[in-house]
Amino acid sequence: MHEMSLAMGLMREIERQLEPYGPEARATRVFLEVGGLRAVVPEAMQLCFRAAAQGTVAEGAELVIEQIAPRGRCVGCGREREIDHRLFLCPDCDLPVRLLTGEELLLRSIEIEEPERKGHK
Amino acid sequence: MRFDRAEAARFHRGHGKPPGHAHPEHPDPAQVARHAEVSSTPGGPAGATGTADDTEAERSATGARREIEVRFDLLDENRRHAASIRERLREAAVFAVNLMSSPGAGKTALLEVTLPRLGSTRAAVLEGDIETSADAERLAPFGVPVVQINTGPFGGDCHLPAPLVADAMEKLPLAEIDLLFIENVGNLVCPAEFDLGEARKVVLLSVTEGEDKPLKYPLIFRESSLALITKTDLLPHLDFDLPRLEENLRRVNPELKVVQLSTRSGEGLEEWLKWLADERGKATHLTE
Ligand SMILES: Nc1nc2c(ncn2[C@@H]2O[C@H](COP(=O)(O)OP(=O)(O)OP(=O)(O)O)[C@@H](O)[C@H]2O)c(=O)[nH]1
Ligand SMILES: [Mg+2]
Ligand SMILES: [Zn+2]
Repeated sequence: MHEMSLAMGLMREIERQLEPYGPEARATRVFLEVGGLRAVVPEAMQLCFRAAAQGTVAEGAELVIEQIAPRGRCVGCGREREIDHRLFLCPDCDLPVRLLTGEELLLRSIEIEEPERKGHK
Repeated sequence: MRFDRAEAARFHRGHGKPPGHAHPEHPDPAQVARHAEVSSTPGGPAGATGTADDTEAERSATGARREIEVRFDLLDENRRHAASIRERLREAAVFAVNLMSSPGAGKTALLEVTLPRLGSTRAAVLEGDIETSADAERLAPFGVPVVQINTGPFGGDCHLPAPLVADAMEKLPLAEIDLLFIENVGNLVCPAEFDLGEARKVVLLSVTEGEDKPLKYPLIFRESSLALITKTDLLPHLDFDLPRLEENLRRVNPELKVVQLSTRSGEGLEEWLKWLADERGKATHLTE
């Protein structure tokens, strides 16, 4: 389990991103893209996120995890398909399938809340 | 300190630093400048999971909300450290091999039989463990520099992260080393996620572990250049389907080289040593 170290890295980036918006800005929702091949368990990530967020600008924020299905393209026939059952071999050509998606671990966006009448520069 | 360790510890046995107190890196201006504002708030992507936030109504009443696009890769920070390690290793002409496996697959045993057989190649070892220095002590008799890295105190106890490896490398006389072994923490999942700046990743899988491991944990087998199937001396006593394991390995990584090895019988040792020498040769050739 390395969700805790990921959550801590995530929190550092959220704080860095919110810095220009002033001390009162808060993160209210955090959108994360997680590829299906990443060893990240959503429930564990939620728990670690909540724990790591305490005392930060993201305390109480909602973590929205979008899971991305692994897809790849065969080096032989060029056909693109979903990689199911962890098969990285093209069923038609028996050649390697190059990964297109499935390895994401991306903080995509943050919903921030700023106090009224206090827009950022 | 408001960090809820008890809750986190249910999933993670580490002693995480409270994030509010972790010394934040200096904000990277390039990253701050990457702020791109998204006009509206999407209602959450399809297939998304999340927990309802019970303070949400209260919060939306108090201020203006907007969504900022970030596109920050969570592994970037580790990757930056790995890149600087790779650069230091290249400058010092050190070939680094990251050994990964479940606990007890035979990483230290492999080092015990490898270190005396390296001839004029000067080796060193970084020993990753959660708490103890037992493995480093096992390697002390071989007279090569060994640096112990304990991950327990760093909230990342299941794998070696690049920053810890970078710190440990400071204790090694890199100029006097040709080959660096990094024995990762015993774990088949997490080490695969963290680049350490090594030249090659090697995964060990013992014949006592089951043929389906590559399908269950594909990442570690996909990241590795070589898989060592260890403890093959035990095969006569086991109901282990070696051809099926090899097929599963090929399914997740058709380019993975596979060597069967036993530190007891010596099977595969020559092939492993030859692989090491060949790969080191290739790497040195590339940088010259
Ligand atoms: N039969 C047999 N036993 C082996 C072999 N290699 C290692 N072992 C035994 O397996 C056990 C674990 O070996 P280690 O080398 O400590 O394994 P490790 O991967 O370093 O373990 P951790 O560092 O705890 O993750 C020890 O009791 C070894 O003696 C082998 O080739 N054959
Ligand atoms: Mg060991
Ligand atoms: Zn094909």
